[in-house]
Amino acid sequence: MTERSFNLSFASALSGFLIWAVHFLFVYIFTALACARRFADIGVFGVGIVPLAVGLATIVAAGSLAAICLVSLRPGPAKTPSAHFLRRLTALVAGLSFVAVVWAGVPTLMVPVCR
Amino acid sequence: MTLPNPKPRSSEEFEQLKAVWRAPKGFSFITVVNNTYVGLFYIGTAVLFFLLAGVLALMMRSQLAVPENDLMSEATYNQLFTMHGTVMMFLFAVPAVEAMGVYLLPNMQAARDLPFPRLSAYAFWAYFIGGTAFFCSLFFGLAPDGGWFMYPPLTSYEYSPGHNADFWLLGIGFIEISAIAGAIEIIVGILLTRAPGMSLDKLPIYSWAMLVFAGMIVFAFPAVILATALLELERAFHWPFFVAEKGGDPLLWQHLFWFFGHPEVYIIFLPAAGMVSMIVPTMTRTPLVGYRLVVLALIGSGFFSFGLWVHHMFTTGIPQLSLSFFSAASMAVAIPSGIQVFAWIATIAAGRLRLTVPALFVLGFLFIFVIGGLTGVMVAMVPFDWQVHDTYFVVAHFHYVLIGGMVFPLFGAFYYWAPTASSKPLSKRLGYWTFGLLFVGFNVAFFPMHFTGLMGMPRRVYTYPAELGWDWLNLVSTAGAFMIAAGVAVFLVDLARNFRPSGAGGCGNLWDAGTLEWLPGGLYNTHSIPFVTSREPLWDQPNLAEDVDAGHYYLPNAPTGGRETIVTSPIDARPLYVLQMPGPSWPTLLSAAFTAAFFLLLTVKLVLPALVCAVIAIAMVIWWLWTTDPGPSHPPVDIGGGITLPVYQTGPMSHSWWAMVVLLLVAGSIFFSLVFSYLFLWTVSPDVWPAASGSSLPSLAWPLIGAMLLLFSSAGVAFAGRSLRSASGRRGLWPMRIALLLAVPILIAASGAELYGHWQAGLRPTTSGYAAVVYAIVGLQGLFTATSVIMGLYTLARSLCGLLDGRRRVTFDNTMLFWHYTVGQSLVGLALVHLFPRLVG
Repeated sequence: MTERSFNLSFASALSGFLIWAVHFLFVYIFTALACARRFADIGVFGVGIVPLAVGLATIVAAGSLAAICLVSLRPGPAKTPSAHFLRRLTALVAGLSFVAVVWAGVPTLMVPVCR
Repeated sequence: MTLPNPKPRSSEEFEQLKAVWRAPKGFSFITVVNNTYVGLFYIGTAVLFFLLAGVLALMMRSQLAVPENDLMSEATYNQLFTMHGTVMMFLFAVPAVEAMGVYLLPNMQAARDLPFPRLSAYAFWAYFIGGTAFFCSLFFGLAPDGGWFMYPPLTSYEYSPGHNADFWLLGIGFIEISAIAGAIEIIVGILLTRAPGMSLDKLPIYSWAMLVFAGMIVFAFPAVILATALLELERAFHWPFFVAEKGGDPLLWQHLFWFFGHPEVYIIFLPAAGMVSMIVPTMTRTPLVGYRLVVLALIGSGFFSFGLWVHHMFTTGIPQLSLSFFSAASMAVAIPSGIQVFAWIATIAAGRLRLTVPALFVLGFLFIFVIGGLTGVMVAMVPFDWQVHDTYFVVAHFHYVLIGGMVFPLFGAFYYWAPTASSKPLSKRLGYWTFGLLFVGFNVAFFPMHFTGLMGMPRRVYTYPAELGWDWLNLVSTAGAFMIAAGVAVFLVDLARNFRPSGAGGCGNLWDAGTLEWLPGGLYNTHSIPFVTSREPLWDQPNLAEDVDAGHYYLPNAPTGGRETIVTSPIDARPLYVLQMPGPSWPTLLSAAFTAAFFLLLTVKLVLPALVCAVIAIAMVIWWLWTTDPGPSHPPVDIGGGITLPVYQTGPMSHSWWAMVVLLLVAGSIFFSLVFSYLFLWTVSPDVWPAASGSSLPSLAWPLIGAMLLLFSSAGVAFAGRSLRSASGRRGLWPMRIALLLAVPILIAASGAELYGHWQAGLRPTTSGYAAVVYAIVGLQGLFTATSVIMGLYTLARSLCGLLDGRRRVTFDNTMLFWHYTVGQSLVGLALVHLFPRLVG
């Protein structure tokens, strides 16, 4: 067992949380910059740029997470108990992250951006 | 399976094993490094700080018992609440859970010790000496008084000119080092030193919890390490990171502090949850229900807790949508906590709970922690938080989650695991009294605070007027606090009467538990290292305890004549090599003492003595390191079962490489926080950046030269590594030595060029927040350069003394990893400082 295959296995099992983290960082930084540098009023196709960016990021992240969850739930070639365990963990992680990503995206439908 | 060593073992072999692990006698006992003793010292010290901070709380509650009380001045009160919070969070909570890990983890995984025993001894002594000195600042009126979170501008040079704030900033410096050292140890220990067969799906939940704990320390502590360094630079040299008038921002401190501060409370809670997950199955004699879900919950709590920090800043004027992201995340984090609570309840329902003292503490924990969790979701609602922020409602909330979520499990853990350390168990009768007094006392003290807060009583006030109606609530809270003290006193009586630590391994598996820390043994942990096939090996593997104790499993001896354990692969726990470990060590203790002395002397501005202590500390560390990296000093060892293992490992599978990688993750997190600081200040104060302010950037020639020098130095080290691989004989080492010797001044020149470039362009660190953060980046580069240079020269010295060659190269590999990281970090720093301002205009 080399270090790389451990890193890869662990990182794939936690890929859901990593996607959650990237989504969270993106929506927070984008909103913060939009308000600090006052470009939040720009509209694209009639939608504010911040709700648009957050919405798109949420759809992309949630979609990837749903895909990861479904793929890992499919019966796969689990050679050892630990491989099977990590596969199941991948699905659970993606599922929980899906809920968290959607929950983080929802405020954009309800809350004013920069006030 | 057939036993690896089925034949009877000789008693001489067993005596040799015991002798090799024996603790030193007499005064030298303090040089002990074995995790059992270091763990007990650590736990004892943490309990001492718990008692001391508890006394501070009793003093505060006495002052608040009646309105307009004059038991103490407001200045004293400020020091009391600051120290109560700081000592509880930094000197009790994190060390206590880390200490339980140091004590339990090797035993739970059937390893003979942690992989770097001297590192945990160093961490302990630095914490003990430094923490004690820090607490004593109270007796000189020098204790910090700006709140445990020490917000500037109150704590900066203008409003806190005395030494008090410096005591906090430098005082927690060595605690930060201790925590990081512990985290490195724990990650490498959990992943690489397990019983063969203990694959990840059989890892004890406590090990999972501690793995998440240590990982969180790696990414959270660096933010506070950087923040404390920046505030100290501001106080000592007036570099204006947090001074709004000069383009700094007090909110930068808050972001950095709370990015650490929120994960900090999960760092405190998750190990306690892990301990509960070990106690409940034993007390119900049923495996934990939902093992995979609990693992998910632990890792999920760890990740999500990094997305909550702004909920401590809801009232700072940050835009509403931004606040909402953190509000959402603060609600989401309740899901993994809830999963664990339901798993425990389901386990209790699936079995029959014996109402032992540990079980009572678990039930108390469930009740109190869940209430704290509910008020947590309440304060996660932004508008609600706007009403209760800085009131006693929040004080109630966090004491419910911290005392409920950590202190109750810790007491339960003491009663539960005491039989592994003490030749007598703790008393059942006194345990029931302790629990009763603590449980009732806690609720009497803290439940009224929800109402006190809703009625408007602010935090951190030393007294209050009589006519606001807060008087009865405060009096009741004070009574509760003294009831808690009574409970703690009963516990201390129990300890004094019954706790008898013995290296001979405790009084047996009194609870009929299923996990490996309950195997019979001594300071060597177990006579042989078992192969496991289940999560509760003692329940599922017949005769395991007897066979382990008779030496029928792996490594029932000390074949190299020294202390050893088995390194196993991280996912499937297949044996890889035998890890040779050190015994008692004087330089370790001395380096810890001089490290603590360095920080404390710097606090009182005795700079020259501080520097002398720093030099001595580094010399002690080098003396300590000199005995590491033993090389392939012994032929491969037969551990039994037909398995022969080498006694030395180089490259990416060595525990040393893994430790260095974790250290570099810490370094990267510090740098990431600094990059954040730069970009944050640019976002809020663009007017002090070169484009707007007219201050000049050095010409691009400077960073280009710097980058080239950096890359040359890396190339030199890479060449040295390649030539080491193909080196044969002593003469073959000269290309490596020369390459290393040349790389050193090139790296120094790169750092010097960057510093001089800014200086000659007229930039001075005190002028603006921009200048301060640029010089901070340059300074960090300098610090890493200096460290790399010391490591490079040390590596050279080892090679010249015949202690390093093509096969014995772990020292070189560590230096190489650190060097390349330094170069990479410096290149990113150059790009940020020189390209970013030019790109954004």
